[in-house]
Amino acid sequence: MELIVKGMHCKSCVMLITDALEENGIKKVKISLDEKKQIGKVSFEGDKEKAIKLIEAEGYHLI
Amino acid sequence: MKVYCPDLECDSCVKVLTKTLVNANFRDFKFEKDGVILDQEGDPNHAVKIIQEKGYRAALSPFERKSFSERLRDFKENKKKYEVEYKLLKFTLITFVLLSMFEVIAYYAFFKSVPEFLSKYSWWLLYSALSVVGIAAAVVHVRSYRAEVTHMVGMMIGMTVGMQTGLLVGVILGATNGFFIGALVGMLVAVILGIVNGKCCGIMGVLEGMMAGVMGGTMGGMIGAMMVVDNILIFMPFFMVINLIILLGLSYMLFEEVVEHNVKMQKVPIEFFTFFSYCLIALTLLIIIMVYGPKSGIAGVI
Repeated sequence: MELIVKGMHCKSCVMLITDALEENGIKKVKISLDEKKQIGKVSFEGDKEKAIKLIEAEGYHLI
Repeated sequence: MKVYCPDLECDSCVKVLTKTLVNANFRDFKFEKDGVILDQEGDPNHAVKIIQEKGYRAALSPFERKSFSERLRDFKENKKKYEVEYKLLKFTLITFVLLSMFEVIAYYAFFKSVPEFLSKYSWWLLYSALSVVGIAAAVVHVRSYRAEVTHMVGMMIGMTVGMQTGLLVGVILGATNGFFIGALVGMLVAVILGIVNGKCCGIMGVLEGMMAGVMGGTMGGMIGAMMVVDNILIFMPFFMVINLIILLGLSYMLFEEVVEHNVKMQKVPIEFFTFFSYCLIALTLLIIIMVYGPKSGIAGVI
């Protein structure tokens, strides 16, 4: 699974989303960050809808 | 008790550290601009440890800057901490000696037959070698640390590299080849180096590097071309010393602003062969332009 998240601009954003997903059972979370475009590519294994809700709960939006 | 944490940049940093502290059973804490104030019960040393484990700088005392004399003493006493700088100083000195030897060999191999070569070029060969190793050392020092830099630091890096490169290359070629080549080559080289080094912080650093390159290159060429009929050989030692001090100052600023206390910073290995090769190529091109490049204006008639 892969999601594109906008508004990610630093390593703290990466840590925040990684922790939020992993703590809720989403596995193999990997995030590659494009700091200039403020976009993060989130790849993972697990429930996509759950992952979207968790990411949005942290205050981020998906593209 | 306050834990100083100067890397707090945004809401995400605060959220990450809030979660970290809550998971470690800290209950009452409040974030400020440069740190977090803990309640009476929490162990501040534990807080420092868990914040550092998350990759942020943290300490119980403020991250104060060292004065110049304190930094110098630290530099002499902590060779391990300044291993990159010691290595680079060694590379710079060895490269300067080797480049000087290369110039002597090149003279006997290629330039001995060029009329009045020594009287026309000997000082400029010395200044070329000094300029090349000085600029290379500053640029390699910037690139030997991988870390996030603020816009202000990135702009300073772009501007200093662009301006000093332009001035040094421009003045040498301005004196030997005239204003046209001095300004053109000085500006192009300086703009390229200004962009490459200024882009560490994005468009602001790139623009600053470009503008400084244009200004330094044209101004360097102008100084060289205009002062060649004046006392340029008396002017040059002062000019070189001041420019090399500015490049040293860039390295000093880099350590203060980017390296010191920065746990997120990563060192990038530097190799002598790479450093020497870049310097040798740059110097060779500079000498070829100096000796065989077109000459115009006053440089064309003297």
